[in-house]
Amino acid sequence: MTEEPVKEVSVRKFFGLVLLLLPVTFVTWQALGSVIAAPVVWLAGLILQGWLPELVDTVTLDNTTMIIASALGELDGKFLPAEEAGNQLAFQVDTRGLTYSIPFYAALHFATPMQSTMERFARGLIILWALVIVGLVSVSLKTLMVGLGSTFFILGALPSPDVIALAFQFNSLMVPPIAPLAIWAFESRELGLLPNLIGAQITEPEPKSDASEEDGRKRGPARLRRE
Amino acid sequence: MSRFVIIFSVILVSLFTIEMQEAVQVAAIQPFTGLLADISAAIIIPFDDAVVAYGRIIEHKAAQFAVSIEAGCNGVEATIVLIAGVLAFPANWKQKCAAIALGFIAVQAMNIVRIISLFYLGQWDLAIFTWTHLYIWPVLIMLDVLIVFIVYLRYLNRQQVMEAQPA
Repeated sequence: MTEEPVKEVSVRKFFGLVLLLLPVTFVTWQALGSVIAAPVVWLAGLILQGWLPELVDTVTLDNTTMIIASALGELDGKFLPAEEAGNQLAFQVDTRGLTYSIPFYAALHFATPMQSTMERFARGLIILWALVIVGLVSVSLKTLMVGLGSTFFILGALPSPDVIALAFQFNSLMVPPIAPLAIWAFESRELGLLPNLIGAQITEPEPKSDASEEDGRKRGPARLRRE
Repeated sequence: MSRFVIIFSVILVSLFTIEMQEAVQVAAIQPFTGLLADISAAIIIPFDDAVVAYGRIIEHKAAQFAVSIEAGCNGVEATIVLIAGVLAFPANWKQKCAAIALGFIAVQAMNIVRIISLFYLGQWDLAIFTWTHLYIWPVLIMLDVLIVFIVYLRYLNRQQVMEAQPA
């Protein structure tokens, strides 16, 4: 892939554009509903069913809510296999609490001038989807832990409650707002936009001779004054 | 870049783990969250005397609506992100401390706007309150962190350029 020239972008213009794009991306995200959540819920469901077959029966999607149908039911305050209990416990997970990272990333991405923008967006989206899967598994484990109590740990090979709680907090509080920034920062640095926003002067290496000047041109991307 | 990413990630995960400890929550986070509720109420009360704050709760007596400020709503996580970013980037300690202090104020100022706006949005429409609370404000707070960090990096760059200029 050939390097593309860095366009001048002011901080105000960039953030102004992000703020203008946010309503558009969030409305699109809201309108798409289950389309955004479906692939990640399906994959998270496969992981949960493979990992905890005695706890998780099926995982389905109702609009944007992930429904975990447990293999257990409740009878007289006791958790029993669903057939014995005559009922089946189900738990809900709001996928939007994790997938809101996608419209945030979209606003940052499309406010950034770049070529091959859809291709790069698709790459970012795949990374975010992978993180949402990790988030959904974390949230599901915490939901099952709270819902099933000690039965949850008897039936499954699981990390300690503290680890599940911390993973839930980190994946639901920290990852959704940080991951889009991290992906955007990485692609912006690659394109030279980040130094541009920071105001770092981009300097070409000083040519020493005709030959080295030729080399300098071939060397391609401008160099940042500071790293 | 890889050095920044490693230091940033280690500090981020460490501070977040410390923040989530029960003892830290009781000793520092919950009193701080209560203080945020008090400050928010103190800003609102001159304009709306039906508002009271107790603990982490702000209540509107006339509307019979109350909000409780919980983990994730107190701006501490956003501050942790800012601290991790500032500490991971090379600068002297005076610059880092100043950036963290000013950044903390910027994040908390934005967070108080969030609390007050949600308090009134909730009285108006609960569905819009939920949507804004869960999805929109976390994004705006993190944008605030990004702006503070970029302003800080611009300042560092200007300082470096000034130092590099001959006297």
